[in-house]
Amino acid sequence: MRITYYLLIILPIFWIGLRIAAGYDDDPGLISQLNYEITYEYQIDGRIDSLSIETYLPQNSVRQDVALDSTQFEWDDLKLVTKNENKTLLMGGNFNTDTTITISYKVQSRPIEFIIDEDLTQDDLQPRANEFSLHSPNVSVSIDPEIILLADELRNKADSSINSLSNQLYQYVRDIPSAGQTILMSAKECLELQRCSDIGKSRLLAALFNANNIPARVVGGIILTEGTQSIHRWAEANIGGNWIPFDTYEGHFAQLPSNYLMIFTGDSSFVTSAGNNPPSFKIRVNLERTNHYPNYAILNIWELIDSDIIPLQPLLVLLLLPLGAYLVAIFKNVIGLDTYGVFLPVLIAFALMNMGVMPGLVFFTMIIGLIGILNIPLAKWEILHTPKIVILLTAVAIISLISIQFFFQTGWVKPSATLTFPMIILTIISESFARKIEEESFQEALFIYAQTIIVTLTCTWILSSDLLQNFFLTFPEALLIVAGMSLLLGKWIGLRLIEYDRFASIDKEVKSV
Amino acid sequence: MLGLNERNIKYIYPKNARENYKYADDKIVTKQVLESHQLACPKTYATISKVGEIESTWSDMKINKSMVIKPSMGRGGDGIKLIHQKKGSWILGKKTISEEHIFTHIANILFGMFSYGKNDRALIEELIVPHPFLTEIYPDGVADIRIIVDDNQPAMAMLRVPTNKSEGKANLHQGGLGVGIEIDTGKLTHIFDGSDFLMAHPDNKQPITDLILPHWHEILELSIKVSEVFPLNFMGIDIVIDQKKGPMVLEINIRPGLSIQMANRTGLKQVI
Repeated sequence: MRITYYLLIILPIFWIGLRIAAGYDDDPGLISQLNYEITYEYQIDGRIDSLSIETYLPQNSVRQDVALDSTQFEWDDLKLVTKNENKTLLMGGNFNTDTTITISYKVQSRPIEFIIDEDLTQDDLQPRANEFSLHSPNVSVSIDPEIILLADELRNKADSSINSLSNQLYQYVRDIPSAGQTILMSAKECLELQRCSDIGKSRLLAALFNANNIPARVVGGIILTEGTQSIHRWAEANIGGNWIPFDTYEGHFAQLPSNYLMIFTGDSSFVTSAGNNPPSFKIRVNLERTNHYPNYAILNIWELIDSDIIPLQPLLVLLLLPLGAYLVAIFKNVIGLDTYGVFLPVLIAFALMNMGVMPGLVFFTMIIGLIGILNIPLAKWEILHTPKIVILLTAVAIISLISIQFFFQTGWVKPSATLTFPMIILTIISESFARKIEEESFQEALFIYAQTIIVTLTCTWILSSDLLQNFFLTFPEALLIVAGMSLLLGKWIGLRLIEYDRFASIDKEVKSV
Repeated sequence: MLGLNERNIKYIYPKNARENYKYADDKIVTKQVLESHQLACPKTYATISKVGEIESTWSDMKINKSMVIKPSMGRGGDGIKLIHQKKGSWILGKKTISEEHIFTHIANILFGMFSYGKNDRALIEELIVPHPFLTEIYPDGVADIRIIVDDNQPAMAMLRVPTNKSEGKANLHQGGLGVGIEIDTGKLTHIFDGSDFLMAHPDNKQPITDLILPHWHEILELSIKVSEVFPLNFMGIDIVIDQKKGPMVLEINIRPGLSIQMANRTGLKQVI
């Protein structure tokens, strides 16, 4: 048996090493690259005469590469111009019937981080003129005395460096509670309401920088995550000759993560259209993966995906399920947590990745609460076990139907999310939960639910890593390593973490009663 | 100390063949083996395996003054009901219960409520009268003795005593007490309540330590005999002491809990 598990671990590692070495010349460093395809979709309903639409397209920069297929612009009423530094797409024409226009491009982006020179001091700044204007055009901010007052106050809290001043301004705006994204508000409204959208926060921060005579502007772009996305705004300040990003809504100081695509400067609308029946507009983001290590692959999963034989999602579930289950095994046998079933936490993790963590958790907890409440009368009336489970499942189905409607209408869950899978998992967990209440107690059932959630969140966090997913897609041999490590774990006889605590009381003093 | 991982890998798996788990997991099978070897256990009144049999079996049961209803494959004492007759009605704990209630309970057992959904059988047996030694320690419920037997050798033992918190049940995780027993003498050693060691019973302040269990050598002999007739080499045997009939085997456990080490303030690895 010892040979079996050494073979299961060492052979695949050796094989993967060989494949990496063979592919190394093509692409040093990266397991695979992530490309995103962005699609703008304009939906024109019915007949519109002389419609004109204006939208922005991203440009190349040190941190992003944009590939635009220009053949899609070979259309008379479509023009690409540069307007206020922005690449602007102008469309127009007359429409007789329902029409959908799509424009798409591919991007690759990298993270960026600035270090603000500590030697830059406020003495380098020009004194504030009586009349100052925002650097960025169209910023709807009045030169408001209250903002100037706040800017001065924050400046007094900072030391003389610009870095410290930036920090003060950023932190003030960052600490304002967030309102929903895309709610239109001015800098002054943000200051007064003390609950701001991304645009409100970005305008306020830009205004605060400006009031301290540091040029600042609002910029717009997309956070690259698969699905339908809306425009996200952050601020940029020109410090030491660089436009440095500050996202007070998502919390990025002088840096942007790799999944930010900058599209345009200024805080005007992303889409402007003239005409009495404006088209509806959507931005879709798709992830494209490229395999850089196709050599010596026992099974080339990327080919399967490219040929559309199997969709990506079920493949990922298949590839990551064993690893997820292994994580659960670690939690059970090494740490000593108790969960509902072995696979349930992994399956819920996949459901959360599908639905989004917050809506998923709210949804699961709601169902669990409902089962708990329903169980009280059902236990009192002494309903036989199996019919009782049927009643509970019916309740799960009804509340699911209602909440699906709610989730989709409020846009909390992406419409692309398939809910069948989470539904089935919910059905299983509600059964386990109800059983636990009967066999032990409501508290015990809740306690195990809490432990299940801890394990689930850890699984979600680990399994949703792009790097890990790409690794398993590129090197499915890694599944054998999981099997080998599970064999090792299956023969591990150490004390579980919680047993140390449990057995620690063996030396306790005798207590009088 | 012996942890769960090591218990499973070094003791349960190599010493007990999977196909023999049924002798411990199914109480009716356990009792058939015990009865066929004339080993003392509470008298079986009836077993029920179909819903249709409940009513007819019940009418035969009414002649008994008291009885215990158990799921044959239940775990951790769940689904066990101790009932007795008083002036023609049935009492559970301190409350009167209807026959309908009893029928539902038996039906729930058969439908697998206490056996993870697997169809089960109900076991109805004699309610033992605990030895006065045990009722003096705590009057309600039934205290029992858990002995871990390894390769036909009693390795460690504890007395499990109910408390107010455990509602008459003797399981440690339900709030009962575990009292260590000196294996050679039957002397009670330490009182463990799941987290602390106590001087006496928490509810009635009865001192327990240093008392000598009655029938101790009979109990040890019984446990050795039991281990010899079952094809299992590592198990926990639960034994009760009846006022008149003396020690009797209640059930056998393939996966005995590890808190027994706490009650004895010794690790199992030190004594096996």
